[in-house]
Amino acid sequence: MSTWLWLIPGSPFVGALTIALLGGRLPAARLPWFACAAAGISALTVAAAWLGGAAQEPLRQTLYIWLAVDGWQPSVGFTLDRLALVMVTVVSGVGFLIHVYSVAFMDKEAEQRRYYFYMNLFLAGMLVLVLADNLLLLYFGWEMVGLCSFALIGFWYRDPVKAAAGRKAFTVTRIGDTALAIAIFLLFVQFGTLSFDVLFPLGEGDWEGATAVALLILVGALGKSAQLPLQVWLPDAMAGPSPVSALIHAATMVTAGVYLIARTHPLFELAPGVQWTVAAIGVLTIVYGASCALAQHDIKRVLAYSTVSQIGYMFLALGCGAYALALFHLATHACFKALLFLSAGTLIHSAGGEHHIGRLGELNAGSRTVQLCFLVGAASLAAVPFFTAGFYSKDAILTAAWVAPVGGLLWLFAALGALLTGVYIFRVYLTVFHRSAEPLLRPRGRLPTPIAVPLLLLAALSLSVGFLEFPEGSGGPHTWSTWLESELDLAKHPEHHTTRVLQALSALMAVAGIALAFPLVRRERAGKSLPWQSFLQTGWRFDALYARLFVQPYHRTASALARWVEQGLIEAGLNGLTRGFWVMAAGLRRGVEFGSVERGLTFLVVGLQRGHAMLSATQNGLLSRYAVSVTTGTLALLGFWLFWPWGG
Amino acid sequence: MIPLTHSLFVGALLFTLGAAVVLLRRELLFLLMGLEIMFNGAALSAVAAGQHWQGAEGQVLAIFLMAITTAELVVALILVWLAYQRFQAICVDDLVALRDGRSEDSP
Repeated sequence: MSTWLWLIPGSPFVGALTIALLGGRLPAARLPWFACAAAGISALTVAAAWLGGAAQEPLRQTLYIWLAVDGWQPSVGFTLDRLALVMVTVVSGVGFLIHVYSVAFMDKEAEQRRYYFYMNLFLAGMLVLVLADNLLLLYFGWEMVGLCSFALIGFWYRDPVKAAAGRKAFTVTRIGDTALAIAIFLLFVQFGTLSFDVLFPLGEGDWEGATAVALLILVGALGKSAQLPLQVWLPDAMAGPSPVSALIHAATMVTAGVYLIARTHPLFELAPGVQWTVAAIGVLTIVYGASCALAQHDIKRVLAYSTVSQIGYMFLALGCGAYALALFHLATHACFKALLFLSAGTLIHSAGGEHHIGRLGELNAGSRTVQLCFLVGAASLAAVPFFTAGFYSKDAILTAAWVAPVGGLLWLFAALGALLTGVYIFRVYLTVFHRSAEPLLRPRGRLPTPIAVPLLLLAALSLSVGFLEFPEGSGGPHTWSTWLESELDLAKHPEHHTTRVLQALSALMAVAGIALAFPLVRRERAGKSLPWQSFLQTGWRFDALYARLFVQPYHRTASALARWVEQGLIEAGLNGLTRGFWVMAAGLRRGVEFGSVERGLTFLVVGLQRGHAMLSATQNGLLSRYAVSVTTGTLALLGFWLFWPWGG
Repeated sequence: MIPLTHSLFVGALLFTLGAAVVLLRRELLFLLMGLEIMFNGAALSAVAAGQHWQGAEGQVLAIFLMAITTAELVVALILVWLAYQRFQAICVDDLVALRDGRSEDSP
């Protein structure tokens, strides 16, 4: 099985290359299915890896040595251990479903070739990222997904707002990427290797650099996973097509930060302060995202803020040492958030590109299937007890947070987030689907199969994945965390009674949140808005703050530099230099060129012509004359050597 | 036993005669004959010198000279024949195609 490991990232990569290089030769109608096949082969390989024993023993494959500098030989090598197995399953599975969904969704788009090229390339990059057996290759995948994210957010780049959203995402994530690069450099300087196998056993000693490196890795993860304070790009990233939002900005790429921290967790355990910061940033982001989602009118922005908030839960779990639970929430979130995005996309599609939830409700564009799917996704996101996957994953994180340092506060924030989650998502559900007025748009007939199948599959997953891990102390199976125990330590939970109380409270929070959504929607229909509506809608005014702190000073510095340094100094200097050269050249032309050079050349030419005329007379073609010359010359030389007193 | 000086004298005489033929005559065939005579003079000197120092090299050199002149003569005769066929030239002064043509109009 190990020999086929390359096929997991390789198949979408080859697919992307083929689409880019030979896509013009494929019939346009086949292109989407070709891209799907590339994603499907990858998903099938992952399935084969499950059957082929990857769940027991890590699979390894080294394709080749990338660079070889003395003792340092980073390879293009893949390791499929349990952590990576979870990630590749989510990425390739959800990725494949979203590719299939795209076939129908992007049907009418003009530039499908570019779309599928980046989708396949993204999938390849993401799979390289999670399979990489060293930090350098991981970073390669990390940058590849960043590039594809940029290109797909700005897919409709002719709209300047959308192109700007792509640039914003690229620039903001770059901050995190730079921090991650510096962390990699520091690790290399300290240990001389970047391979995970060698690095992480080494990391268990006492090393004071651990704090700095962990902090830098955290910043890298914050950028990619859109956590405070680098979260500003994700809501704008919704400018891309809905499948892109589902795949990149909900299910896979934004969780790369979670994966990175889980992968490097020994380092964070050396720096407990940083680890606690992870949890603190997580809870702040939970409340931030949930509160902002409350006030949004754009359905996709609600989901984007919700993603920010849900990844906050994963960070909270990472910060509490509950890595397996973070991954569990990652997997369930990938299912239900992809489901929400895809059903929202279908809704927007059938409403002719309408994003506003109020107007979507008036249009009543959703069919029964879409409504059902959205309800399942929303319930799972709100963590409705017992039925949904979201309940099992989120609940476990909440109880695990209690035992962390200052756990009570962390729990309080997270529980508040859970309450708000129920409110905002059911606000959207009720506004969009439960409209008493006469609908303006009759729901169309059946959904196209490539849309319906992924929706229903994801809905089924959103309900069922949770049963892998029952709540602590409930007596149900803990398949997930015991299976991951060999690689990621078990989470600590509080003692039995506290756990029970906490579980009951968080279940109550979810239900209370949903209940609160009803009066909120009624209030909104009556035309009243939330308190602090604009503050929440603009994402706590982070954009304005950053514009004032960074963007405007940057622009001002740039224009000042352009005016003073470029025009005043460099351009004036260059102008002066040019003028000086002009003067010098004119002088030289008059003095040297017309004077000595030209005269010298004329002299030379005339001399050569005279010489030529003289020599030319001897070249008369008469053989006998030549013979006479040769003989005379020979005789003269002989005479010189033989008889001249001082010759020879 | 003929002294060395006598043989060398005859050789030099032959060489000079040959050279005189080459320099003074204009017919192509005469030029070739003159060349052959010059070669013979050289070969005679070589044989005489070999005899004088009791070595075989002089005779070897003479045989080589014969072989080489034969080969050279074959080529030369073909050229002479071609010169006659193409340019109707039997006289060396008729073959002046390699004259520097610009000598008249150069300043």
